[in-house]
Parts: sequence; C-alpha cells; structure tokens
Amino acid sequence: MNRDPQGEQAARLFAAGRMESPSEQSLRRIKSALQAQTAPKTALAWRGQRAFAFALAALSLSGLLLYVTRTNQTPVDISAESEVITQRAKAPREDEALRLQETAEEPPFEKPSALESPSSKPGRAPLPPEKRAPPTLDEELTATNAARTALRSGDATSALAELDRFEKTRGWRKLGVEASLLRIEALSKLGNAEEARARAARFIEENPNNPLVDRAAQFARPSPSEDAENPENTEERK
Amino acid sequence: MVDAASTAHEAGIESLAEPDTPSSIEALLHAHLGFIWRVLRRAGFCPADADDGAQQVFMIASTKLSTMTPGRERAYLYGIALKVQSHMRRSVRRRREVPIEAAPENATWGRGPDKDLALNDARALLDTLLAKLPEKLRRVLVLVEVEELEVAEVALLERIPVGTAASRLRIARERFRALLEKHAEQYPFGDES
Repeated sequence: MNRDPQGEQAARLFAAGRMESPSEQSLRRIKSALQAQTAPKTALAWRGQRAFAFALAALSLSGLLLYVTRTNQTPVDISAESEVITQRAKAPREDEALRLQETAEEPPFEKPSALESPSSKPGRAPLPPEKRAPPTLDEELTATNAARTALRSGDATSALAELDRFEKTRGWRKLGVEASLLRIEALSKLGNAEEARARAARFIEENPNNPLVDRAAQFARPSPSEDAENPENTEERK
Repeated sequence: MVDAASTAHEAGIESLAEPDTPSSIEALLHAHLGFIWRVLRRAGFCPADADDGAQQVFMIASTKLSTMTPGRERAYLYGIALKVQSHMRRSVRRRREVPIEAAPENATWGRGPDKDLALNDARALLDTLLAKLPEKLRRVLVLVEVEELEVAEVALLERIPVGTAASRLRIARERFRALLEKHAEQYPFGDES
C-alpha cells in the first residue's frame, strides 16, 4: 500500500476525501442527460430514413415520367444520329471548342444559393453561416457552462445574453432543457418573476418526468415576498 | 460492480444503452462516476461543479465509446476529466470570479460535533492544502493517497514514466506534510478556540 508512514493526520485527511462520493441525485441527473443525448439520435435516424424514402420515391417518379416522355416522342432517325456520332468521334477537339465557345456566349447561369445577398430576395434574411451545421455537444456545453458560471457570479444579464446568443446563432439540440432551466433562473434573478413563473410552469408541463422538474417547480411558485404582498395567493393554495 | 439495469430500473430511468453497445455507458457511469467526481472535487471544484464536470465527462465519453480500448476506460475517462477540468477553470478565469468552493483557511478536522461535520472539515482542510501544491504533484498525490491507485497505474493515467510518477509522489508527500505541519502550528488540532 502506498501510504505515508509518518502522516497519520495526512492519512485521515486522505481517508475523508476517499469517503466522499457523488449523491444519488447527481447520478440520476447524469443518467438523464445521457438519455437526452441518445434520444435525438433515434429521432434523427428516423428522419433520415423518411428523407431517404422520399428521395427514392421522387427518383422513381421522375424516372417514370422520363420513360413516358421518351416513349411518346417520334422515332429518331438512327442513321442520322450515328452520322453525328461519327463526326464527333472524328473531330472531338473542334466540337469541344465549339461547345465551349457557345457556352461562353451564353449568359452566365445564376445558381440559386443560400449565400445570396439579402437584396436579391427581399423579406428573407440569409441564414448565418454557422447555423447550417447543427451545434456539437461541446459547443452546447460551453454555452451552458458560460451561462451557469455567469448566473453563479450573480450576472444574470450575461447569462441570459449568452443563452440568447447561442439560441440565435446555433440553436439548442441536446441541452435545450438545461438551457430552458437556466433561462428561468436568470429571469427570476433579474426580477422578472412573472415570466420565470410562466416559463417554469410550461417547463413542468412539457417535461413532467425530467429530474430537473423539481428545480423548475421552485420557480413556478410565487416567492414568499409575493405571498406577503398577496395573501390571497397563499389562501388559494391552502 | 453495481447492476446497471436494476439501478436504472429503480431510478425509473429507461436503459440508456444502444442495442449494439449493451449497457456500456451505464456500466462506465456506475464503475467510474465516483472516481471522476472525486478527481474533480480534489481539483478544487465544489460538489455542484464536480457534478457538472462529471456530467460533461460522461456525455463526451458516450460519444466516443467506439474509440475506447477495453480495459483502459478509466484512463480514457481520466484524460477527458483533465480536459474538462482545464476548460472549466478557463471559464472561471474568463468570468473573473471563483465558483470553486473556497475552503476555510483555518479549517481543521475533528472539530465538529458530529461525524459528518468532522469529515467536511477534514475535506475542506485537505482541499486547502492540496490547492497549495503544484497541479502535477497534486494529481499524483490524489490518485495514490485518495484513490489508492498503484504508482504504475498513476503513470499510465498521467502518461508519464513510472519513475517520474514515483518521484512526483515523493515530492508531493514531502510538500503536503510540510504544509500540514505548518497548518498545525498555525491552527493546532483540537484547538476549539
């Protein structure tokens, strides 16, 4: 055993550290987070399968249409077509040069793109570049951590700003529930108790089995000071 | 090891595992949560931050299960924990505030009226003294003395030669003892005043 023979006191301190372990609540919370992380994967897979089936159906339909169109066309003069092929085989470079020349004379093809300037499509703002890719878990963790740290330091405004920033630029994918609760906490700390309460009630309604519901419930109740101001509320609850 | 399925059932939580990786993340969680959480705690984070950090570690680990070498899970998780810890510290510095639970400078152990209080005091003192050690020494000392790992395993986790781990452990023990003696002189044990 790797023990410090002289440090009986040190050994007691180390033993105290060794006896410490995470609470059952922590374990449940982490499990819940892991569960939430795996859930969207299934949803995405299902969405992917649907998209694939849709693409397949569209392809089949277009193939069928093409077939019908072709069969309705007048028969082509095979001998004339073969002559053209022979000519192309003889002078492929000339033909290619001609084709390039024709292409150069044509007006440039304008490919519609999401990168178009806002003026080209009025009323529809372009997506910010980073919004197109879904956020990674690391990015979401960084944002929620920043908001949580700001909240703990008493800076609810920054926490709210951080949550807003991430929601606008990236959007929540896996930690949306955590972000909602952080927003509720921030609103409550900023004195916006009414909105915090409404959001907390919605949170409980939408996530009844989430372990974070207990925390949300704290914000769904009127504060003692509000109770004092409105004794009717207390009476109603009784 | 804890039966992951039964615990999950007791906790009212459905199985987290995917069909092709039966119970792997649950098994990892049950086997190593305590270790990872204590590593973060002894790095100076308060229980709430240690919870957050441990959650991050396992969420990252769950996305990298396929790259984990069987039998080396603890080393893998420890590596993630070190990165998460570093990230959390940077986040704290950016905010110019210290959410890390500040241990009382005059903390001693055995002063409390009950066992829990005594343990809390002892942990607070442990963290106070550990915080005064350089990080590399602190990590080795915690792994050996708190987690009771062998030096060879510590070397594996820290990715350093065994000789280096042993050397760091020797220095860490000496410094910790010196810090403890200094603290005892300043705040004698059992001094209730």
